[in-house]
Amino acid sequence: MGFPLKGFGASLWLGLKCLRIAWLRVKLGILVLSTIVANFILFAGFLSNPEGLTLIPTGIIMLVAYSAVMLHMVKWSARDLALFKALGADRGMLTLAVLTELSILGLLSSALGMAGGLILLFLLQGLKTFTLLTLGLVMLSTFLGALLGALSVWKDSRQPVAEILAHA
Amino acid sequence: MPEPIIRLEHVEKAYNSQGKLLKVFEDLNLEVYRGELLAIFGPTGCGKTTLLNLIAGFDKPQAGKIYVKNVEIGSLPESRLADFRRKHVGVVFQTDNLVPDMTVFENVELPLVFAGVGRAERHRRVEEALKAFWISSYADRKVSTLSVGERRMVSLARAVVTDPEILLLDEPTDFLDALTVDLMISSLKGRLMRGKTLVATTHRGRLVRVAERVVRLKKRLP
Repeated sequence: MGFPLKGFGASLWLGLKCLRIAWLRVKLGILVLSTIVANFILFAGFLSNPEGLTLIPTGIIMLVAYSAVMLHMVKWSARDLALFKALGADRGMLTLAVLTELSILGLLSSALGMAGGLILLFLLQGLKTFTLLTLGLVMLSTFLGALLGALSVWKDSRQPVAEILAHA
Repeated sequence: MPEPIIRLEHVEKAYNSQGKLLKVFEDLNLEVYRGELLAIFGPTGCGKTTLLNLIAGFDKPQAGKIYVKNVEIGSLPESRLADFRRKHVGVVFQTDNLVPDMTVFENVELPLVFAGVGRAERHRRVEEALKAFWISSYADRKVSTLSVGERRMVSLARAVVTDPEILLLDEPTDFLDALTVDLMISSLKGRLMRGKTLVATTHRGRLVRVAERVVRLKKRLP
């Protein structure tokens, strides 16, 4: 089926190109995702017991929000992906390209969000509470979001090109 | 008689539209011979684009078989179909389907990237294709800044850059002025096209006059 390693160089090239050609969408994504992460960092910082169970539901909310944004971004680029498929990209290439694009986008957004959240936290109450669990939940959201976006492309790209182009 | 490079046997295609099944083709048989320029002529909505989509493997028929270079494309798994298309078929879409935020060079380069061609070879082949369609001077311009005629030339350059044996052109002369149509037709007869099989849909006469064979499609009444 072409997945997972065929055309790795092409996927990487395409993923990086997609980041550049969809710059407006990428900027919007970074803004939304980094805000989600900054909010989570702030919330975690204000909890009296950040290792406790209260962090988990908040983390799950962040994870769901993160994944929703990533999935939405992938839907936006459905037409381009169908076109790439028409020009000879196979499903594996497209999936890897999207995984590359979303991973870079996610890492950048998470880094910005964490930096923003920690600065705000420091200004408000001094940096007292930033745990490995907080960092772990941010990283989990980042990679799970990227993975879900890529899986959605893997699933959608099964449709014939004409059908995707007609509905994109 | 040269051997057919494309063969459609008893093809049926229908679309589901608001709960009703609209038949586009019923028992369609067609042979396209190696090296010919075939024009598919007919009114809007008669199924010209559907026919090209079926030949390119972008869409699947409900019944019948389509052979391209003696390979039944309906039987190919997804990745082999992509591979097959990459090697043998170039497509010019009716709506160009270029990536607007990429430059002309990058758009033409795309099929070569998917084919795994190295950077130096990619550059050489893209430059050759751009030159063949008189768009070398636009290489660094974004596609969104080009006119319809210039974009059509970019689409043509992208379709031939991998040197496919078969070129499928969907209404290539649409929205173009007479001068650009002439320029395009002379490109289609140029050095880069020698030996290629061209299947072009059209609802206008100019392309029909230069084609070696014309197939007329009629619109089915509901």
